Amino acid sequence: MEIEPERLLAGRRVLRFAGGPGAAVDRGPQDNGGVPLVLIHGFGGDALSWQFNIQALVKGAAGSPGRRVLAVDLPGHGASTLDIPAGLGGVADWVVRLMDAVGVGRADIVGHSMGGRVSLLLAERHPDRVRRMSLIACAGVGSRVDAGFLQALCTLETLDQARGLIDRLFAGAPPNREALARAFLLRLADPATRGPLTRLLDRLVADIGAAPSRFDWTQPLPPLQLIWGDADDIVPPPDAADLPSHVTLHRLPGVGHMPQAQAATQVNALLTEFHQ
Amino acid sequence: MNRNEFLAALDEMLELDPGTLKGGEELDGIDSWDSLAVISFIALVDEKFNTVVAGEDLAKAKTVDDLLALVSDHVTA
Repeated sequence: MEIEPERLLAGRRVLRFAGGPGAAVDRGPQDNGGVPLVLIHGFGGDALSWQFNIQALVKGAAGSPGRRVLAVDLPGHGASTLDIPAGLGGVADWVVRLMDAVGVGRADIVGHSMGGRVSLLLAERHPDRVRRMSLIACAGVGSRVDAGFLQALCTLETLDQARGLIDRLFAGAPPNREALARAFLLRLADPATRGPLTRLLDRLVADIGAAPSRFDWTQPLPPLQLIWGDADDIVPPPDAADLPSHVTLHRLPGVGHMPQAQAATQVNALLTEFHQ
Repeated sequence: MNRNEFLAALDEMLELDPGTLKGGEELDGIDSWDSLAVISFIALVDEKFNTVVAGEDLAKAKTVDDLLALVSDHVTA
């Protein structure tokens, strides 16, 4: 099963750079002086994982002149390279090269799940490139990650399996379950992407495994907020008591591992407020 | 904007022949209705009516008429 190349490329910019190509959905004004917002999806997703967020974030708060929003396809995903960098730090460096290629300097970063871990590494390795950061259901800040679930994404074969994975992601069946399941199967059962995804999963598991069980909140970090679904059992929310007072954790009741889709309006409002 | 004008805008957005969509079509049966189309739909509504459709509402839409219902305050019969 393969995604038609033309359909995959539609709506995306594809940039050539060392380690590329890199693809991204690039929306909003580029020349109004605002700080761009870079969206980094999770394992097995792609730039379109932000389908319910991009336009709301481009528009911003009432009266805002709007802002540029860049939703990237990470290596091994979407229309980006199938060559997986060595380690998640290498993935963070790759995102910076993509930002360079599209002319995005200092940015606000929003990362989901594995994309949150990539965002943290980006801020650590390239602190001058990050102004503020929102981490949604972020891997690697203390709570466990269900690696078995991620492994199941890499071995997905049937629509029924896809439905089961969607139900776990959303902590229940979402109203657009069938469309999501079909898109999931189309994307993840593509033999061209399966190998790269498996290699990336190995990098992710190694990174999480090597990290200390308690996240070091004393390290230099940009201002950041955490957003989590209360019902997320893939990367469960951390204990608020473990967080420093300057980090706000927004827990969304009844929401699973995909708050940006399941509670899009609330997440868009939190992001718009924090990233003004 | 009236219903037929909005349907024509959807035809164009989804790269369908003019006059294809009547309203009762199931979104699952339209090949070009995908995540990218969702982004384009939200942008189209914002451009035409200065309002951002809530993703939670869009996720529940099953037919083209359901999309029309999301903009019923702005689209006349």
